[in-house]
Amino acid sequence: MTTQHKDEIKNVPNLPAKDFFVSMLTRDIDLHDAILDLLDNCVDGAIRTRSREKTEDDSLEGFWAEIKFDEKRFVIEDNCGGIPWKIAKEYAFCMGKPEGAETKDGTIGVVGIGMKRAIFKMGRECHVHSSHKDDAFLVTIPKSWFADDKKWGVFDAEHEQPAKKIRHGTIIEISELEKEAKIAFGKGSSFRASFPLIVAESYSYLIEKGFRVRINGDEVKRRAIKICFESPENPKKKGRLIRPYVYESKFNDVEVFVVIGYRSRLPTQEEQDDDTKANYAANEAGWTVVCNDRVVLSNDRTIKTGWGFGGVPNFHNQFSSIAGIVEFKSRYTANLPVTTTKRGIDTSKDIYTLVRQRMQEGLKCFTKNTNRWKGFESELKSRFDKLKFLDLKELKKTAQKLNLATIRGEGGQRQFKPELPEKKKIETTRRISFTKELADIEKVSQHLFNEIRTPEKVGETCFDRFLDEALK
Amino acid sequence: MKLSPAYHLRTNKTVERVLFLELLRKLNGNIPVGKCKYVSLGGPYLEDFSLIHGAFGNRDMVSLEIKEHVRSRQRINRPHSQIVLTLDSTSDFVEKYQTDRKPLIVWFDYERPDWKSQISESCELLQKFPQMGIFKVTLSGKTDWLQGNPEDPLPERAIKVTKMFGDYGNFTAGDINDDSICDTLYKILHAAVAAAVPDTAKRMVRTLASYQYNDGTPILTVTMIVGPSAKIKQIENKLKKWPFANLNWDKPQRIAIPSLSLREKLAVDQLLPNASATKIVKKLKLQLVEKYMDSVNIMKNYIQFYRHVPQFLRVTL
Repeated sequence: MTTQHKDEIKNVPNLPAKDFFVSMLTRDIDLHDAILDLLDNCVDGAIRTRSREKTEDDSLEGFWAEIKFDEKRFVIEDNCGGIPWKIAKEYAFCMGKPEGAETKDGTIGVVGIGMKRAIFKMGRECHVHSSHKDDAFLVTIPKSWFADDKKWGVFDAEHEQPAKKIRHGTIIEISELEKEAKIAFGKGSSFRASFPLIVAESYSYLIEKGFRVRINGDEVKRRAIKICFESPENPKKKGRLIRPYVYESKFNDVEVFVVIGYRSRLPTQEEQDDDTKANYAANEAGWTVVCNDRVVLSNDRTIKTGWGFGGVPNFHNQFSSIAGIVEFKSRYTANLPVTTTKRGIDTSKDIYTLVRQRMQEGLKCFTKNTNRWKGFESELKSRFDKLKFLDLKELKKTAQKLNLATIRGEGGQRQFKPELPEKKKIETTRRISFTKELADIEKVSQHLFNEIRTPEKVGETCFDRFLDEALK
Repeated sequence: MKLSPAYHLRTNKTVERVLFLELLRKLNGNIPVGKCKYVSLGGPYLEDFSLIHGAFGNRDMVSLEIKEHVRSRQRINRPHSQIVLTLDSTSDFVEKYQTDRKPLIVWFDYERPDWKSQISESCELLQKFPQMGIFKVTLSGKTDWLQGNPEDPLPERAIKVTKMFGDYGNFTAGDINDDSICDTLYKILHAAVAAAVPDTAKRMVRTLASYQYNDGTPILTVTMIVGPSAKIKQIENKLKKWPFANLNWDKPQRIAIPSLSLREKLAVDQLLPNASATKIVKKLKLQLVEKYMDSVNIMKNYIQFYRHVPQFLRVTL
């Protein structure tokens, strides 16, 4: 071995191959989740920028994001303050947030990869225009960057005039679209139909706070969950009332609010049969989990949210009127029980395990009560018809005035267990249920009433007639 | 007892059916229409079977019908011996159908509204539809089956629609009146199909034509194609200039043909294709409804479809 050789054995390259890096980064994220990451950045910008008054009211009024796409390009623009040059310079375009990077209260971003991952998922060329109150600049990720394995370190940035339309905000324009994105963004695509619904669901609480999202010109409308609350104007009222179970706590920096109750009146046996047949109604039942205002799990009815174990029955259409919301809030997003795609729950977090026990306790109140009323659901109908249904904001406000009982242990846990209306035990009655051909039921109905009536009515009338005969 | 009105009493439906035939003629070449298996709910007269067999010579044809007495009429009315007259429902067909290479045209012409299960079984069928198959679905926009407070039923009906299709939005009374219900059903259908058959380069579902009309009941009818992106693109390019095409899930076209007497129709037709709606209304002093502008708009719709409008005459045999 020569000296010359020894000089050469100094180091070895460890740069990731671009193609490998980009494909690994984007392979496990869906296109809609990638775009939601960009929307989250808009919201984080709004939270960073909003006035003290809006921060106190927790309002996002006046902030918006607009998404436009077609087969050639994707654009997202917002008026959420733009990217401060300091953040751009230090980490906004790095692959991950460096240790110790500053985090603003209540933001959604976790690891600082969302924007880059979204860009790589969609295309191979990108222009990021930022118009911040202090600086306006353009960062370009050129097509050539993706092809050159040795090109790491910096993206070119240049000063530019602030955009007039958005005043202070960001425009991200992605072109050279990937095949998957081209198909998804094309006219008439299934993505065009499904994506606004996903945003409506995930951003329901942010939209409620005033944040506006438009997709290809159409405003996204929120989908609110409302839960029944009897006599909300008189929270201290006692007696057997149809009210939700409420729980709140604070573990270190994570605030928790749980509410579960009836989202609609109890379905009758006939309605449950229809629901099973058509596989609907239950769509809006189950748990919705919200982390820093972002819906991360919707209408879940699985073991993840406590169904089917620990004394809680499996979900069945009988329980289709039960819905609950769990809200986690923290200034440190990493402490929230959410996955990095923000579209799922990290069930391994201690805080979630603890809270899930309470979710189950609330759930049991309503599954038990629903069982108690089985077969007699229609008796509660008129009562439900008069009741008010409150959304999360109204529920939280009303819950402040309830008498919450303290639970022993850490976290300042408190709960309200409702005393739900009880079914008087009438053991002299039994439900009769049987199945017949629809055509035959219609024939009998014609015979009895000269018109088609419900199977329930036909069956009941038949029984009453024979009862009369039997009593003669 | 209620009998369904015959085609000749439903002018708009007749126009829509003629447009369907025109669409199939345009597709012939890209799709071997005459070799397709045709499945439909032909009703007692099997009129669509007669037209399609007449135009393309299809031999493999299946009628879905659940009422025995209707089938007995079909036996007399069937235009040729090859039509299989089943006593199967649409859901029976969906359940039994196994994907094969035989090209397929299916028309589910639902008479009664039962949107959730109808859309659900349509999606289920689309999932196993053969490549380059044509699926047409017709939905009734009647809302009275949803009941509600007799004095103001729409708000309660809207709640029921939201209960059925909560995944696709919160619906209000404004979304389900006679003018808006077809647009709403169309959006729901699009979202449901998008969820059931997400796009890939090899397989996607796109509309070729969609119309809404009202012959006494609001009706939505949508014709879709299932196939690979590249082949669908070819068809879209071919249909681009056809004014009755509706590609890429664009808004359905409205067919609203006025009821004209034979004399009125002949007088109007003599001025076409050059005269505008305003000119016709002025020249013939033909005010079809009370308001002048409404008359002009109705005439505009007539001009759009006049070549396809039938004129029925009474014939005594």
